[in-house]
Amino acid sequence: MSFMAALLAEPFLQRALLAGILASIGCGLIGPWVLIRRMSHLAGGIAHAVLGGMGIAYFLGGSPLLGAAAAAFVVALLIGAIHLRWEAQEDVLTGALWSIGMAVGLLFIHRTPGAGADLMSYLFGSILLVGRDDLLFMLAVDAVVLAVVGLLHRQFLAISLDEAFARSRGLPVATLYLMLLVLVALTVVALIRVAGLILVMALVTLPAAACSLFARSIATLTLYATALAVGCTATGLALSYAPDWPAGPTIILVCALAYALALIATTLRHRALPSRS
Amino acid sequence: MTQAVQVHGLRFGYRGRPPILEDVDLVVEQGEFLGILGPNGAGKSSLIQLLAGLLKPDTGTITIMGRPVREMRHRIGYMPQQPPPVRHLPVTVAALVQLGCLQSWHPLGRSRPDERQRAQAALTRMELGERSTRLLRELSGGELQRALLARTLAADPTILLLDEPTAHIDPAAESRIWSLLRRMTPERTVIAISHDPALLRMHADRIALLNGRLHMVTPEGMDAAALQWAYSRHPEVSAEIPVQRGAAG
Repeated sequence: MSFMAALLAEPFLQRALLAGILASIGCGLIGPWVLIRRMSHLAGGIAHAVLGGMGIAYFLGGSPLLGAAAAAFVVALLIGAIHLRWEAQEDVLTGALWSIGMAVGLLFIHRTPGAGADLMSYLFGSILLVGRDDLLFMLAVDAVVLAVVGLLHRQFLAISLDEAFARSRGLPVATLYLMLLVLVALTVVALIRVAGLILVMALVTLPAAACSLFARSIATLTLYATALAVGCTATGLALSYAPDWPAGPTIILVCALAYALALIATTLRHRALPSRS
Repeated sequence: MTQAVQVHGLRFGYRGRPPILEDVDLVVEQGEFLGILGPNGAGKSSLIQLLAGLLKPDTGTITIMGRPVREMRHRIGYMPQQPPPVRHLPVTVAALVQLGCLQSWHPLGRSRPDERQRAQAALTRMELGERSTRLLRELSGGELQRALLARTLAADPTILLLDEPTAHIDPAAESRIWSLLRRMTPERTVIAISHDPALLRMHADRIALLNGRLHMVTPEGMDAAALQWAYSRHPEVSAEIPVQRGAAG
């Protein structure tokens, strides 16, 4: 059966495509800020450290997604505090949180009978297993991120470009920065079902990075990145269906290909333009 | 004349280190152009940040137009030393400059028409009016510095605090920017840091030499002896700095 025929017939594929679209909206909204603020390492730290929360949730018999959300929130605030108070140690401490979170998660999962079976799906994504609750969670995260970014996008741009200047204008730089990190954390958790916590950063950053080569404003970057992410997730899903490849990694490779093509197109365009003297 | 800035008995040091500014007294009149010169680590940037309210003095007082700094932030335009890394961003010149209108109590969402007008006026003042729709990565180094200055001007501040506004750009662009800054007075008070005594001689009304302590000179008094005082911890440097344009060997 072709992907299109299966899509029309199979509810799980329809849910997977819807999850891909909702994930793409999250990527399109938050990816540009990860790029502008140059915080892909910090966001990677958050993404990996959430395994700690998931492991504890498994051990206590709770929802792994809620555990991930709680851990993401705590780690985002910790990373924010490190940036604001111990900037010189930021790189090392973020790397440490990254590993500590994973270590805690693996330890608790090891101590919980049966939890290891789900581990691969959280590490690498399981978009085909997305349920109604996952979709509602992603929809809620998208709505929150859209509302906050819509209201505060200029403030976020001001603190991302130049913290010292923003502070001199009286903007609450620390609060805005922590809010941005919490939004990144929420988005990462919402995307875990699609791409898994190891691959999620590529889904967040690559569409935005590809579109930043062409966009002329943050608004157009957000729209382009969302559209490209939708295209990549749908293409990845379709490509992975017939040969039965894992969908998450296929989606990420399509994103990487899109970014490489954008980079090549930009390089060729610059070569074609007459150089400025 | 009214005093734009008054500093009395200022002492400041970073935590766990000896003070870098001691016994600093300074009065800057409204409409004056004050240059600040001194070696690295002399406290120039710290003094500017103290005046902008970004740092707090250990002891002493700072007033802006007779009032505490925190109450006068809306009258201050501060330009940090390091230009932000903006070359990778899809941000236009106009969008950058409109950020200068933001205030702590600013309404949320898109920029208002009056902000766009003020930003355009600031760009025109910096001779960048026709470049407002360009992306930041399409500007030269000198144009980017002027765009950042326009951002500082967008909120129509009365006092400009500029931390090396022409660092990292070529002499022609540097000279153009200092001429534009000179034209800001007497409408505004300008306090600007530079490492170039010749530029300060040419454009400033007075020059504050900083070397932990502060010593005020006129442009005419900005001679080899003054430089020697400012760079007393680095005598080999002061001997090589030309005090006038064209005086370099």
